[in-house]
Amino acid sequence: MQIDCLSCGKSNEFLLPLWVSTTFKFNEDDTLSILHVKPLESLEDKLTDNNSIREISCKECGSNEVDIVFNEYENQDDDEVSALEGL
Amino acid sequence: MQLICHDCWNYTYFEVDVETLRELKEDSGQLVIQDTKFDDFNYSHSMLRDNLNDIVQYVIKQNGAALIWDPESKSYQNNYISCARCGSNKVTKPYSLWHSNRHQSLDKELLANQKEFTELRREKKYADRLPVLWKEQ
Repeated sequence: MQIDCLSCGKSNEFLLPLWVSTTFKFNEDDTLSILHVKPLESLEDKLTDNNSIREISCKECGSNEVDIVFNEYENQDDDEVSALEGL
Repeated sequence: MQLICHDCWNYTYFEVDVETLRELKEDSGQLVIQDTKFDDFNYSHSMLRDNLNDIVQYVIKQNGAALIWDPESKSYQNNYISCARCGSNKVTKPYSLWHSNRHQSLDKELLANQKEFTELRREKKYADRLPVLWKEQ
């Protein structure tokens, strides 16, 4: 799997917003304590959903123009595939 | 007591949906999912805490505006926060500061505090003046 930033092309770190359900309690002094955090969205679904891909941003430049290649070996020539298989 | 559930009277444990941030990192062909960190600062944790605090403070401040009418149950329900004990959305502030039993008209309240206000104004008038010594006639 490969993620590329089409804007800067440098970073290999990306940010993805996710919704979570948080259970919390009020303390005696009215401050909040978090008891439990449960994800509401599947990361796999979000990565494969074309609409959600736009939410991914480059950590370096903040751009949303990101390209995800799930199998970078898919479009290789037969020679390259056989070479890799030989290895 | 900041919020209360109208079904089970829980005023401690609640649930809310908030948005947080995760980091995707490519490491030798593998996708690593981790917290977002800038130097030593964990931005994922900070964002979660900030968003939670923002929503709770918003619901406490807005109160009525955070409620929506549910035609099925024929009751107002909280659009953001639910009870963690019974799952009910009937979560509001426990009371109003201006409830009917303590109601006093503004005119009466002003009249009752008139003397105190006069004293306050008198203090303000002489606050920046040095004390004047009494002179013998």
